[in-house]
Amino acid sequence: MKAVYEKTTAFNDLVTGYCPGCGHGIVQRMIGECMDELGISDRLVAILGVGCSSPSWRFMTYDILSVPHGRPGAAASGMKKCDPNKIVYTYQGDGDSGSIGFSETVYPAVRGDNITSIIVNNTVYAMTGGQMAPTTLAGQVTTTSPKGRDVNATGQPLHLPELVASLPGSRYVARVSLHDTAHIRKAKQAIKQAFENQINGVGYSMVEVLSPCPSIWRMKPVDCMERIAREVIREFPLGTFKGA
Amino acid sequence: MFEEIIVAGAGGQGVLVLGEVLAIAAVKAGNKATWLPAYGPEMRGGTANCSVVLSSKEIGSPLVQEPSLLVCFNQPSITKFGPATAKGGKIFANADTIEEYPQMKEGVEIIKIKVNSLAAALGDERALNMVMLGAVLKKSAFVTLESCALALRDIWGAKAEELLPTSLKAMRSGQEAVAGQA
Amino acid sequence: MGDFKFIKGNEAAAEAAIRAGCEGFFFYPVTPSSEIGEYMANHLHRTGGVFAQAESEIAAVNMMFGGAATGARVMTGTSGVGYSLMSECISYMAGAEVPAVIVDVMRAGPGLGSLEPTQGDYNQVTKASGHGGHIIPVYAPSNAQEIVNFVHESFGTAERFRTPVVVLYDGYTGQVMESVEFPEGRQEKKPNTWSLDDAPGRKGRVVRSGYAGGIGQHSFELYAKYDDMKEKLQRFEEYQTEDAEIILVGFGIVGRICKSVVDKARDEGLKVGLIRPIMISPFPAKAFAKYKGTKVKFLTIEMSYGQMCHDVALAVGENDNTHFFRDKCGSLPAMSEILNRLRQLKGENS
Repeated sequence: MKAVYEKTTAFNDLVTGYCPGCGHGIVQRMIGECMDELGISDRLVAILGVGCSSPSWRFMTYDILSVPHGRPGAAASGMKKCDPNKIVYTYQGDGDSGSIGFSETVYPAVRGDNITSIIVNNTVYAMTGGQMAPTTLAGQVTTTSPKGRDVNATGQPLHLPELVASLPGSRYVARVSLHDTAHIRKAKQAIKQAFENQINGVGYSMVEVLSPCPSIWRMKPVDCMERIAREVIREFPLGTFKGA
Repeated sequence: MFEEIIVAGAGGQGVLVLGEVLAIAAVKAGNKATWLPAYGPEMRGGTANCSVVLSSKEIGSPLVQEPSLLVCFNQPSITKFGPATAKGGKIFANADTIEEYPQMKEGVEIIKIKVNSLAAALGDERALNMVMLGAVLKKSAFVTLESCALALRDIWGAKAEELLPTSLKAMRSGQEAVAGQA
Repeated sequence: MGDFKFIKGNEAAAEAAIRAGCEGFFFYPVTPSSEIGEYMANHLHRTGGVFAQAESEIAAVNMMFGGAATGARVMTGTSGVGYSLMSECISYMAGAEVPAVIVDVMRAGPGLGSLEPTQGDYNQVTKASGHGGHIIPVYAPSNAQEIVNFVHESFGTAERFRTPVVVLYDGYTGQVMESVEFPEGRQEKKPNTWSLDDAPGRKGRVVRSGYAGGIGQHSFELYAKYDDMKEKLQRFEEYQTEDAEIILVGFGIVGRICKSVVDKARDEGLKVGLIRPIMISPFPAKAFAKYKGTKVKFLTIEMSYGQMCHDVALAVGENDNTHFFRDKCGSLPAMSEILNRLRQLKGENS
């Protein structure tokens, strides 16, 4: 018999611990598949910020560095400079990258460092219980925007990829989504492209992934996917903003 | 030997280099030396000074507050540091720019020398600090012209060959100028 | 014999790091430490090391963390204001047990403050390098030669104890040019079992400080390490203490000034000695233990409101014999003023 679907070697036998319907497991599995397909398991390093994915070192089999909230971009730059052989990627949420770590996330692109940035955007601070994030949609209710996000007081949702794409130092910038199988396949292609770029010395790549959060959104997983397709994509358009 | 020196003047008069030459020359002769520039906000506004301590023993404070030897290139320098100069100390004053002398402690000897004019006469006004250095050498026994030349080679590196002849001429001119002064 | 140079303290720190085998230097400009970065930018390539100017101290220290995680020998240079920003990551590195060297050239006063010599960062580096209660070794060089020796040594200490190490001095010590001799050879580097190195085929490793499931065991391991550091890293210099009735205590540039004060006091017939802590964390309590219950008086001199004096009081047992001389901020302590205080203390004796 021929195997048509296997577990990636990037995971051990522990369960992820993510909530049912969470997107992190899908994204980290896709990264694992890329690792296997590109033959970089000896070189790959994930740099984790602080968020729901911080404890994910438990179930991954390759090298992990866990750094302060928002700082994976700077740590990735330093690591790549000290050891250019590494394939270094940052793995952050939208709050880690777009709020507390805004500077450290944008500057690797300013410098054009040859690293890969994966950002999981679920429009909220999920780990801390659902507070307003820089990516929270206008009118979206969170624990710190109980009447819905007032964009007159808190600004419009932050579009990190579009901003980074405008910098001369970035080479490949895309936004993808997990809301159905077709889009998950596209997301995988974008993530693989971002790693291939680093392997080939092309330069800085960023992929933002729109991802569901059933626990904080207080929705069934299927409804979360519908919300992304219906509402979230309207604010955060999918596509490749830079590079092929 | 124990000598506490302040070299003070305007930016661009070679104040810091003069201090550095004295320090390195003392080290070359087997002594200890520290050189401390006034830095930060003090540097702004065109005045410059440095503290130099030369000693045959380990040096405590590198900051000079009561110099045994003061070198002044302009009026503000002598106004500021002149009164602090130790009893029996020596002050080397640029007579081209300094007209007023503040009240000094007893026994302070003032050696006046027109370093701008002497340097100009040699054809290189930038050499005024080396003229002053010559005067200091003549009046103080702690460093020699030879060790100063070695120090300048260290500081200037590859440029020394080009710059050294003028400097040596300037130092000798400074030595001669103060030879007559008591 | 090593190699002699007449060099600024800050440049000596950088040159010593290069010679010790520094492989990565990450930096954000801040007076009075900037010469360290400038020197590195010009010279670190000599040995194949990488220099990077970051967008902030926060980024600089996290770049250093990233480099250190690969097992590279890394360093940053900053001043107290930058150290404050780095504290978060220093805590992470202490928790993750990652070696690195941080040079802190102190600024004067809280906030933006000023550039005069000061020792106001004592508590910050010895007690409060970020959250969580870690202890990291801190060297306190008093002159350019000690900067060279301790920067060189600190890379070994950092790797031996798997910890960030601080080299702390004031702005004057960074600016003073002095004659120094550089030690020959690099600081020996031993293979390790924790870093994200390039060994092919090895199992994945995790460098982290997070313990979501409970930190108990990790804390005990860290505490055992702090005990070990306390045992092995207490370093101090004793000068003329054998028959001393009054012992001066000062670190860094104050220590070297106090040595001159001891000589002057002895000339007057005052029986004065000096204990100069060379490492201020772990604090060299050993140096003071034998004076507990004696009549020897202690006079701690600091260029701050008084920080190390509390460690001295703790080590010697606080009583009428522990005194503090707080120098006015913005200048080095005048020897004459310390001498006056000593004469006064001597008078109280008889």
